[in-house]
Amino acid sequence: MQRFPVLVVSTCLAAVTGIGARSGPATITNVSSHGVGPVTISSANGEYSADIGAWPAVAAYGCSFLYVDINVREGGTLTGTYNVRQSPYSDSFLDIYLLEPGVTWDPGTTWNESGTERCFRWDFPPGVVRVTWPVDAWGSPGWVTEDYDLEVALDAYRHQTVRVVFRQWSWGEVYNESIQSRIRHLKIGGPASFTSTPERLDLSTGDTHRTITTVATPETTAFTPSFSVGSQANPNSSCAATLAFSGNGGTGSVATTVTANPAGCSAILDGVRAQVGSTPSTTSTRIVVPPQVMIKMVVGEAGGQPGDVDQQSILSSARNRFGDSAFPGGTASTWQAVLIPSQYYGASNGTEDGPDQELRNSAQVFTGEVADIVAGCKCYWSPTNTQWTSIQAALKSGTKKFPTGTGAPGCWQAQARQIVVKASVGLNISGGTNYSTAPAFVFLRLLPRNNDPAVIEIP
Amino acid sequence: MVFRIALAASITLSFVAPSQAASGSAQSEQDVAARIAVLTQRLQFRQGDPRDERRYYAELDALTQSLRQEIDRYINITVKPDANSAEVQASLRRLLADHSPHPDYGDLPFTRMADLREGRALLAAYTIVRPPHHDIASIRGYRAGAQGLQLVATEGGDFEGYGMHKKEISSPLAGELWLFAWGQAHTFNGTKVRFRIYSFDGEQFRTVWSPDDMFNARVTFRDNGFSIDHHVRQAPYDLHDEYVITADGPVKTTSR
Repeated sequence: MQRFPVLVVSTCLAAVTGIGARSGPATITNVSSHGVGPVTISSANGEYSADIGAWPAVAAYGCSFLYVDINVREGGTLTGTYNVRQSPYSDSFLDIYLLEPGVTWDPGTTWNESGTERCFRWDFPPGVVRVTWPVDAWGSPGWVTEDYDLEVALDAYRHQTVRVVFRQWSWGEVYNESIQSRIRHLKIGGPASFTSTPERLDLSTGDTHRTITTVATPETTAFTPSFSVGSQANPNSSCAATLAFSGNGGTGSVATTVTANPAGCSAILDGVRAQVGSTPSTTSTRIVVPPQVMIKMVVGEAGGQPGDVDQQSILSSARNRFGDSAFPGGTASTWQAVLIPSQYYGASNGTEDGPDQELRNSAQVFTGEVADIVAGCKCYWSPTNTQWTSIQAALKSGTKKFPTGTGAPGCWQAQARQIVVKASVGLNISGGTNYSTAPAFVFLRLLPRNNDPAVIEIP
Repeated sequence: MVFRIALAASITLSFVAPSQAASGSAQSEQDVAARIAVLTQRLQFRQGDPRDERRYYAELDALTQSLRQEIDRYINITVKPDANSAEVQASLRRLLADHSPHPDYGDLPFTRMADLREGRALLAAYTIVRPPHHDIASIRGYRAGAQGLQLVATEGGDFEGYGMHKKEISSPLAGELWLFAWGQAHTFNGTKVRFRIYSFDGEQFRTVWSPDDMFNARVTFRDNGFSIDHHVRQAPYDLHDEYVITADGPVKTTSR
């Protein structure tokens, strides 16, 4: 076996900066070579490139190495590209691995068919981490592979030094062009970054399937996110929910299951942010857990109504009772005190989780994103077709006399009242044929001013 | 408004400690009527005046209790045991002229004099109107004795938060008076109706029938029973139930 002098040209080119510094991003501290073939290293604009190979011999075997030493400091990513080329009469492989801090494994520079020398071996000892599998150009167009992207996440080695090794194994003869691995644009990118989605997550205390997905860049980053909460509110609720996160990890993307407890309680949590080590995600999530009784009420009263407005309207009406001592729970001004079975049929519904539509609409009313959309009405009902005819007639005539036969609830029965028809509320699909041509809900309030009509319509 | 405030101030003590000045037997019908009028005046509050509203809700139960006591006293003083039902009912309706509920949610006072198992007795049922939607129904039983008609039993607590209509139905048991009562929940979002049948034997009330509340329910009476049309939340959505009255209470004979 013929050995070739190692051409080491890297040392003088390597940027030796920041060794020992503990803050800031990772830095390439040295680029060097080792082995049987020539390695040409160049540097420009903070990036390193190298050609490995130029194999001069026939029927010879051996390995050439490019070493990239890195002070990881606060973390980052080694990026660049690589390809492999060869002649049709020879072969060449390139693989890449990382020596963890303190590891100095060296497989040697020679290889023989008897197996006594194996510079190209894959039985990596502990501390040697594979970055890529061996790549060759056999059968590639023009006997050259495409340029592959390289991303080596370094965040796991914060405040330590590592070595990334490019190892080329070659045999054969020169044919026209030298056998080479061409490595380009090696540089350090910033520490891994993370984003989390969705931007908004509505959650019932009975839900166990809703997740926040955290995605890392580079996608080779292995991580286990924890979560922090920016701010928390819980308006008009007697019981505050807290969140629990599943705490699982993964590589590239992690779906974390979010649950809320205790059952029935509520919260609005803004700025819920994934955190990996000291790195927060660049995006955050708003998590809204409405009181479960809101969901129950909507499912029980308006479940199946296709229009979001239908569901939001009745919750909005219930909220209008806050602060009004004339209504049960009004003084307490909490959803739990107001939405009670004696006042709302749906409040006794057995739903314990969050059907998507009912959960979403409950959450939007709970946060106030959907404000008062029923003109201050505090009562409502579902008229029959016949009752609806009476209401329509009164609306059309503009009468100031409260119509009879409307089925209106007894709210303010001793005072002047006004029926409010909300035009955007859909037809009742839940009451059978005697209700099918009437809106799902019609609303009621105190007459705002003397001489106002008994029935009005709002959008 | 000034009048009301002045009047209210003048009777602040009288409704919580009535009839301090005169003995019960000496009180005239007019005195009781005046006291009821004053109490009724206090069962109001000025809309948009939080202080007056707080006063109203703070006094609501006490005023209601005082009104009931005054009516008991009125019956004791003015109603003779041999009076007929129509006269007593007309008298009570005059007395409670300011307590006429909205006809969709209640009706006028009802009275019935009868010889029952425990003696000559009066059943009175009426609503005290309490704005904005806190009308409260009372069912009270009196028995004739040496001191006139004395309150012996009360009923109707099931109708707190509900309006009340009432109708006497023919009792299948001798010596009892049966009252059919029904009413709509005041602030329930929809039409939820409660039904009860009470019996009175001159000594005590008994709840004969107390079904679950029904939605959009309408009752129709027949000679030997009644029917209720009502809505249910699942198909077939609308039901027509027929009942006959038996000694054990109403029995549903058909539902379709």
